[in-house]
Amino acid sequence: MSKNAGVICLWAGVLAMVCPLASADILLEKVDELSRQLEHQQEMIDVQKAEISALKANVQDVSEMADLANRIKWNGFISAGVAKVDASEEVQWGNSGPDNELDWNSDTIIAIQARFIITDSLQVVSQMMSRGGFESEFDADWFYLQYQVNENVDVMLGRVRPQFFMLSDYVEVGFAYPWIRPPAEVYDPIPTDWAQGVSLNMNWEGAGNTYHNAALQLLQSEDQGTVSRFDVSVIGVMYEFNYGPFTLALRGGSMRADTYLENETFRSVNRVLESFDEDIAIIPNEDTEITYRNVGIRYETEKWLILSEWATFDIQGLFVDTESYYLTLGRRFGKWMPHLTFAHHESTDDDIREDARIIDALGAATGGTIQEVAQGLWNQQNDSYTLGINYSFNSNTVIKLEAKRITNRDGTIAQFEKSKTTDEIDTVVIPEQDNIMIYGFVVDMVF
Amino acid sequence: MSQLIKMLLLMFPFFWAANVFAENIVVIVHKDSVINTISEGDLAGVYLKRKKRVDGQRLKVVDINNDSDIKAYFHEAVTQKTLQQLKAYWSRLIFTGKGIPPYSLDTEERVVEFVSRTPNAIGYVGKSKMNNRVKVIREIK
Repeated sequence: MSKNAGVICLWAGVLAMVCPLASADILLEKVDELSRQLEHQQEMIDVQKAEISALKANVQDVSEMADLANRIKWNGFISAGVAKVDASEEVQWGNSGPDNELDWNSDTIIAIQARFIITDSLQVVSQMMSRGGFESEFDADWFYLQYQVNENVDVMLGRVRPQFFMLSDYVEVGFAYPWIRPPAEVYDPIPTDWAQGVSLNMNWEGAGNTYHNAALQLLQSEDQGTVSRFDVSVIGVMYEFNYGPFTLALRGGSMRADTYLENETFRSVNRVLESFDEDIAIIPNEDTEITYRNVGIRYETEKWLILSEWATFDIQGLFVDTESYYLTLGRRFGKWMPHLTFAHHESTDDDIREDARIIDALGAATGGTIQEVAQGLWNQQNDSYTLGINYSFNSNTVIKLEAKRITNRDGTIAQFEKSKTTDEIDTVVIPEQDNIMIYGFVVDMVF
Repeated sequence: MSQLIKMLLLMFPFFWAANVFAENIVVIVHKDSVINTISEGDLAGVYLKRKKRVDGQRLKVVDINNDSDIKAYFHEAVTQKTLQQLKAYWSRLIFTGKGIPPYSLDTEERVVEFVSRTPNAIGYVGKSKMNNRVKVIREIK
């Protein structure tokens, strides 16, 4: 019997003594009934207590799961686009740009990023990306451990992006820039693929609402170029200054590359050239020195967008040294933003490839078939004008329509793809028309 | 022809349409915060997470978690970014591990509630939504 029921019985006893006997019987029955009800209620309370305990345990589990969910953050982006190069020859624009066929391959990308927060100062970031259509395989483009040393310094260790250009870090995130793809004139001389190593990143606040970012990167990469396979180490520095809508970005660095030429013709030419002088080899096999510089500016308000980069790329040997730049101007009208880009690209070391010994070596190695087109293959020059219009479908989605006119190539192959040289050097195509149009349409989305 | 010109002229406001919000926006902190006022430049730095501290205090920045009029108006006035530009800005940071957007809540009421319970929080709401447990440090007209 519960404590409450006992108290009621005590009161009932007292009442029974002071009341007539008949009333006492009725009272005792009532007391019994009340006692039974109380006991039942007590049992119900005990059951509910047990249920609450079980619920508490469940809440604890849910809370732990919620905590785990809070520690993993998912983000992603998708670009789905079609593009076509309007040329009579079979050519491809840039390292991975569009070709003659109208298809989804060149500008279609999907990526999913997971950020695992281990502690307040330690996180692991992994970004899986698939290029060239939804049936392609996913690769881990980014995979690094990031340690926040203090409010202003962090260290990234793992697979990261080398900081060659202003947009290197997010060169695939179409939503983050105005064009369908960044101008190949600046972005394609160096493949902006991943590398492994360490990146020391700093940021600090200056006087008068100025902000500064800097990074030092020590990276190593093995990659497959269009005509060579290389093992490269990179020392790169980056500095960015920001004041309101204005950003100035400076990047530079040097690379050391061990290179293996994939094409037998190139290898035989290289052997002949090296026998003359190492300086005129196509590319030294070991410890080739490569330097790069990049200056970028961004001015962006809710109405105006100005983006510009200037870049140089110097590589020891006959491979082309290049200088390139672009200037983009955009103006927002509500959800619409038309934009115009002028870009220029040229090789800056044409004179070294005019050496008679090189021409002769090329002729000897290829039976004379390469001599006529050698300059056009090696040297690069072009201007381009890109007119695009973007429509912000919502704050996560942009639809882009673009037309690019490539011109003033001066008979060179410019940034058109040269990968066919890996199989048979005679199949390399230099487009005959000087003016070539590229059309594209893409939907860029982040989530 | 004149009909077409008239139609285009009528469409012009849509092209130039700026976001409007029915009332003034107030930037709020906890009523006991040491911060009494904030400049527009500092506020932009705080909401783009470039500026880490104000008056020596590290702030927990709260934004609104949807494409609401108040969010659009606030960011156009303060960070000079449309919601799409803002998303692009955070995309550049999220996908490179350099930053994450501010903590965000669904409604202005929840922002007021959060700021009133969090000593180092900063948020913004319509003026009519504030209560006496928060302090206004800037008003945006």
